[in-house]
Amino acid sequence: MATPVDVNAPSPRSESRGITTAAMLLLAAGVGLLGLESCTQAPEGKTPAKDVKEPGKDVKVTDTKPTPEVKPEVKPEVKPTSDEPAPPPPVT
Amino acid sequence: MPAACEPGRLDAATPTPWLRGPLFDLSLIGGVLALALLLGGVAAASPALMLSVLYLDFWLLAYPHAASTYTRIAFDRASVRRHWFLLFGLPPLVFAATASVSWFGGVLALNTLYFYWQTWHYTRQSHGIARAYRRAALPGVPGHDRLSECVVFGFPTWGLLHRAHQQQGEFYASPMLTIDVPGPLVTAAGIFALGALLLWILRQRRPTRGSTPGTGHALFVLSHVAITTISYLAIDDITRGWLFINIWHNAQYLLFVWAQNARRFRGGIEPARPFLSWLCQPGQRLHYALVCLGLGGGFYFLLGHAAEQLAWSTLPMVLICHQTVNFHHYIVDSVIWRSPRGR
Repeated sequence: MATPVDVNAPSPRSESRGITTAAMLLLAAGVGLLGLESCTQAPEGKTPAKDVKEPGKDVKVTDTKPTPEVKPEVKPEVKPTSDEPAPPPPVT
Repeated sequence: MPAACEPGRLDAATPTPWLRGPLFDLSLIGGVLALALLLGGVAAASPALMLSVLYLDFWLLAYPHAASTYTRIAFDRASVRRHWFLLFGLPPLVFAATASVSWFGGVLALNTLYFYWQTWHYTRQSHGIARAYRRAALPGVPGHDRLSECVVFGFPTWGLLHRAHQQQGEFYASPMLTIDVPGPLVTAAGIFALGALLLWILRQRRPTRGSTPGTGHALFVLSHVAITTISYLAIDDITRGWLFINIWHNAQYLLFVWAQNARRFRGGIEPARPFLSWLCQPGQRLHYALVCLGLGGGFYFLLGHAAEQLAWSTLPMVLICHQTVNFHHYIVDSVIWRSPRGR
């Protein structure tokens, strides 16, 4: 059963301080996440696209000799991972 | 459970910062949060353990949690009569609606609906419990605590917008539809949530007589902020983030419903409801847990096997059946915790 306590009475200082400290830590974490999120956003609000180089550009040609034909490496056959059990559908 | 507020109503004359007592309430708030952080952290740290944590969560928490709802509507004759539509009329309707969503929108629509609805459901539960704490601490004080509500709803809103902006496109290994939300809108939502939290902290530092809820309320709101921040903002992957709050929600619901049942039958065994009132006595905690565990586990075991038998090439029947139970649970919860008849 709930213990009747006068909640209007001032709570112990340590209790109040503990709650405030926890709340301040959460606030600081939230501000940090918000700052992090804002920094990763491009001006138009999108996550900046990775620097993709155009194919063929900035490629220095050092040797004009035709490269010897390389036979495609035969990789061992990878078996499908059908043995992995599928997760059950999400509940609640 | 939007307006779960029995404590305040039953003990209108005795204000208390707790729903049941410090030990129980600290377990409800701190214990459940620690459990969610531990299990969610294990799954986030080790992908190999994700499935194990998922099974642990479902069999020990989620399935019993769904079963515990029925202690409110189906464990005595009067409740069955009162809630016959929720028990027998609503399930086929929800099944038909869920199958239709799947038929027209596929797994994408079903998955999307689940993700947003479960967020709403979890947030409403937090709102309901926060209100229960407030009513217990400030009996007879009318109206709403708008500032706490801004905190309780503000963080999930920020989290959802953040998830939408991420555009992960997949949740729970299935496709999910997300609206492309611009970054500034996410930032604005974050500023709003953090601003509300800052004002809330300032209010906590200078409590006013008769309008600031007690310690239990403060701790509960902070636990909600913590789990929402971790689930939706700090964890990058949407599914791993969801697991944190899913564990939190399930464990919390189990404890909260048990406390409400124990309070309901605090006068002892009722001749009109001998089994339920016996089961909900504080000395029968283990029996209560075993009944929820057995009913939940048995039901979902049968549901899984039955759905597999109904294998239909055009519809994912296992998913539809499980989501039907989820959606039915959401609707039932929104009805029984709001209406006075639900008690």
